[in-house]
Amino acid sequence: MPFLSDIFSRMGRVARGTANQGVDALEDAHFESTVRQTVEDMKTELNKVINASAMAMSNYNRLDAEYQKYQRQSQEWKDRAGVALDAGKEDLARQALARKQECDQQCTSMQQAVESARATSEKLKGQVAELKRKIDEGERTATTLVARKNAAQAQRKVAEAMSGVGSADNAFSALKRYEETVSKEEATAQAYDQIASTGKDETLEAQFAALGSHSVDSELAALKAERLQKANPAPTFPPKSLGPGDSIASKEASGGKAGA
Amino acid sequence: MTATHTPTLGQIHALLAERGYEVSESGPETLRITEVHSGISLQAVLQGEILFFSLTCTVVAEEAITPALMGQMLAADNGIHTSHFQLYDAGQGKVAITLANFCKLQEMGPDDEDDILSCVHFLLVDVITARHLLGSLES
Repeated sequence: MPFLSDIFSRMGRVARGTANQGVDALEDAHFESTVRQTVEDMKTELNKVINASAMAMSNYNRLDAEYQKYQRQSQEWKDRAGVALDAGKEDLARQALARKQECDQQCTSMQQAVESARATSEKLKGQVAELKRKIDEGERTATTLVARKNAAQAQRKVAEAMSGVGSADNAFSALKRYEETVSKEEATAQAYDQIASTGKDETLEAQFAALGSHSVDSELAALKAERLQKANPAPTFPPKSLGPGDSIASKEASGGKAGA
Repeated sequence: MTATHTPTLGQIHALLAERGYEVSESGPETLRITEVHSGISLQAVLQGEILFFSLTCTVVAEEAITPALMGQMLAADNGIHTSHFQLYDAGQGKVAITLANFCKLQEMGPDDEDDILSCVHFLLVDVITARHLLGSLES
């Protein structure tokens, strides 16, 4: 099909141009519309082939139906001839066979046309399938080519912008500045801590510290006294056991020494 | 090939601004996108349905682009997986080392939005790796 070969040679030229000439070949302002139009042309062609295929199938179906009809009639006349023979009516059987021969002749004359119509129909169905496959392929190719062309153009715009890019206008510098900013902020925070701590009234702090230590000393002394009292509890004597010359004080003194 | 509604730069601008980026239209079909905390900027060029992102890592003298450096930039295990290096002529004997990636947009639905935000995020992550990789170039 010359049309199809032309389409695909055009597609091929575009693809080869892309491969051989790089970005420049893709800068045709009409590239996208050309590619899309090519696919649309293929779809139009497909519709024509589908119509032709439908007509061929219809033609085949009509011829085949007629052929089948004559074959059925031939069989019917043959059956009738048999019935006539069985009934002993040879003339009638002869007429039936003559009709059968007419039907057979029709079948013979139609056979080639039917076969030809069938072949044409099958061929067109095959072409429809092949064209659909090529359209799918063409659409994929067109989509890819357009995407590549757009990516190449976008890259070219980036390249144009890069020609004026300054040494400081880059991400590494930005990251460095960012790190420096973070370091400065950390240093500033540390400085604030130091300033806050150096602003305190040291005399007052010392006084409170002394108070705190005094309080501990007092508590320690009280604890010691308490423990001493538990270890040496004060004795209790009933008044009756007191003899002459004894006193509570002398008793305490002797008991104290003994226990020591 | 079905006819599609081509995404507009305004839609992309609005999406990125909504997500906290500082965005300006720096040229025809071109956006400058800045991550506000770090100050890192990148540019996005919309061409048809292709949105091409580029982030300039650093600009160096041509002589700095040694084979060893090229090897680092091209190595499959260099840690940069969601974008790729590209070198651009920055003029006056300088070369801009950039990271680039792109996405193909359709109808600016949720998938496209995710693609755009991912591309930007990938570049911002990859530039950290690139800085470690090319640390010797940093002035």
